[in-house]
Amino acid sequence: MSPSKNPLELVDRYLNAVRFWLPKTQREEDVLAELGDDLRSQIEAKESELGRPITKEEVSEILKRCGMPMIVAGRLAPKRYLIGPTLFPIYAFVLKMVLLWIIVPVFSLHRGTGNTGHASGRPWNSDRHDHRQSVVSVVYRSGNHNPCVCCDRTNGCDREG
Amino acid sequence: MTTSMSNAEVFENLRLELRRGCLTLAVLTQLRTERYGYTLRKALADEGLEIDEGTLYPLLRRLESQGLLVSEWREEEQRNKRFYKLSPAGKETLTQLLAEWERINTSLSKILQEV
Repeated sequence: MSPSKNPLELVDRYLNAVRFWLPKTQREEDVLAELGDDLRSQIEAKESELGRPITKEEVSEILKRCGMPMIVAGRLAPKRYLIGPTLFPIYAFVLKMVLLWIIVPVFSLHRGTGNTGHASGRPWNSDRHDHRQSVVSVVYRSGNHNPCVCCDRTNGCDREG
Repeated sequence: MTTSMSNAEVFENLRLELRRGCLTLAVLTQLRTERYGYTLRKALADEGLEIDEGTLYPLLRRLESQGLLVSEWREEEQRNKRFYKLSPAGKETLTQLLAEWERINTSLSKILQEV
């Protein structure tokens, strides 16, 4: 904190800290330039009021009053919402339904692991697992309808190979 | 999810709500003559209506995107400044808003006198 340093350097550092929290667009550069001009105007007004150059401490006071960079950026940036108030009811409804449709089957499958034989103990993919198994067995059975080359039987040959 | 708010919080919320519309009206009125951010803030503060940077600039941007204000960057005192003023649509809207404000004010004064 040497007194020779330009107190306005604090303003640049402050603006850089605000920039960090802003989305990187031209519009936000405008916002930043505007805020920077406001702060410098405040400093000039203070200087002409005091009749001497401003000190670092006085600059820091102005910046503190302006607020924490992250909070200031949050106010200056356009408001972003994941879900707007209009869509919120349907969002909440879909979320409830999805949770119900996932959690209830998963729990019942998980608890019934012993009965089904091939529920894998990995409830999150047991549904797909079951589905794949049945597809495989249907394909296997339909393949088996072809008569055996040696004895013409469709439901399994006595001979091996 | 909703916890009961303290009285101070309730008051603060209501105060901000009450202030929001008034600030818009004050800003639009001030911008009948062209100004840039800092001088606008100063003009409002001189009349006793303090408005901080984080409130004024988003408000100006919103009013501009609604077509009520026009702005341009211009150099003054060796610095680039963004000057704002009412657009023709803004002038029209302000007239309507001021008429509405008059109506509300008159009614509210009557209501308050009855108390």
